[in-house]
Amino acid sequence: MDTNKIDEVFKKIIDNNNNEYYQSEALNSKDRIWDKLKMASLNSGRRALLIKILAAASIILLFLSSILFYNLKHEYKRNQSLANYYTTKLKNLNTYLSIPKDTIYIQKYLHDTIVKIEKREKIKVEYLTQNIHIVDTVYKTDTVYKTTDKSVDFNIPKIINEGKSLEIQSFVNTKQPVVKNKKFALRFGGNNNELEDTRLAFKHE
Amino acid sequence: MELKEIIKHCRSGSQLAFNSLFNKYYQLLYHVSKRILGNHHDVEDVIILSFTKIFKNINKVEYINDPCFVKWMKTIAINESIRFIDSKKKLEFIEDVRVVEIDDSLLNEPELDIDIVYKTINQLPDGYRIVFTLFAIEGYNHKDISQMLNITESTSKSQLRKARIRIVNQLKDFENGHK
Repeated sequence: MDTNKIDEVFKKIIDNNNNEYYQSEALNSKDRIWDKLKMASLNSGRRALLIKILAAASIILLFLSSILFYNLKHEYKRNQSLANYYTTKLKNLNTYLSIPKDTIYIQKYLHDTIVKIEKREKIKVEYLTQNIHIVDTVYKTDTVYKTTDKSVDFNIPKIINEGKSLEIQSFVNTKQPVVKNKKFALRFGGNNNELEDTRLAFKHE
Repeated sequence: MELKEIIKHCRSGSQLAFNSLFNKYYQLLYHVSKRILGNHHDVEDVIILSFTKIFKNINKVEYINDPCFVKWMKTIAINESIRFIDSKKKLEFIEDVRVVEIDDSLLNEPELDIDIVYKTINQLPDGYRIVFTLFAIEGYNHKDISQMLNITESTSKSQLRKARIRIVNQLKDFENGHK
């Protein structure tokens, strides 16, 4: 059989029906669909407006950013060229004045045409150029001599010791014992215990 | 109001004209979408999308005559339906089908009513139903269908042939059920 007959029969029946088969369910949702369409249209309008505003804002922002970027780039280049210019000038100046190169520094660019220059002078350190021979160190001390010999004259003038440190001198003075003559002394009496022991109170001092 | 007048007022942004256009062609587009989608809730969404697109692009389309404009609207509804069904589940074109001899007596026109026709169409798998509807009911050729569904022409032809066989089988089942 000719299978196209199915197509023809089906099409004919559907066309004759004139889109009424689903009419009831279509009508049920018609108003709801129209309301949704209106809402969608409204939202679409708002969205379109919002998109337009955002687009305009973006364009303005982009424009301002490009201007700012251009200015910054231009200023950087200008500063760079000025820096090179002044550096060259300073090099020349240094050469002319015979100043060591590390004594002048460009500290800061205050303005396009003004450069703050700081001069730092080298710290000069002077060294001794002559050899000085140190012979000795002299200390002046008062020395006291003590002796057991009565014949020694105590009117010895103060001695200036040469080549001895104060500490040594002081040690000699303080540590040397004073020698006294031994002598016997007879002491009578004593305390009660000594009397009972009948010991004589002979003491050697 | 004539369709040309309605379109003219729509282009000037008249809400009344949009409403008139909607009322005039709502049923038609509903049935077109319904035959492809087979689901009432899906049809609602597709109708909204279709009319939104129609209203949005009405300024761009050139009015030649009523049938051309109606065909343009139907094409939008069909494309939206295909896009919708494809977005929900990837369209599959079933290759295996029982090959059964077709009995001429099953296609006696007076015995077929619209109820059986729509039930038969709705019981077809998605691929068969879409190709059969586009070819047999809407009148598109295989080249157009292959472009719409992004398939080859031979696949379109194969799907149509298998759809017809399936329809005949279903009609046979209906007849057996009645007996």
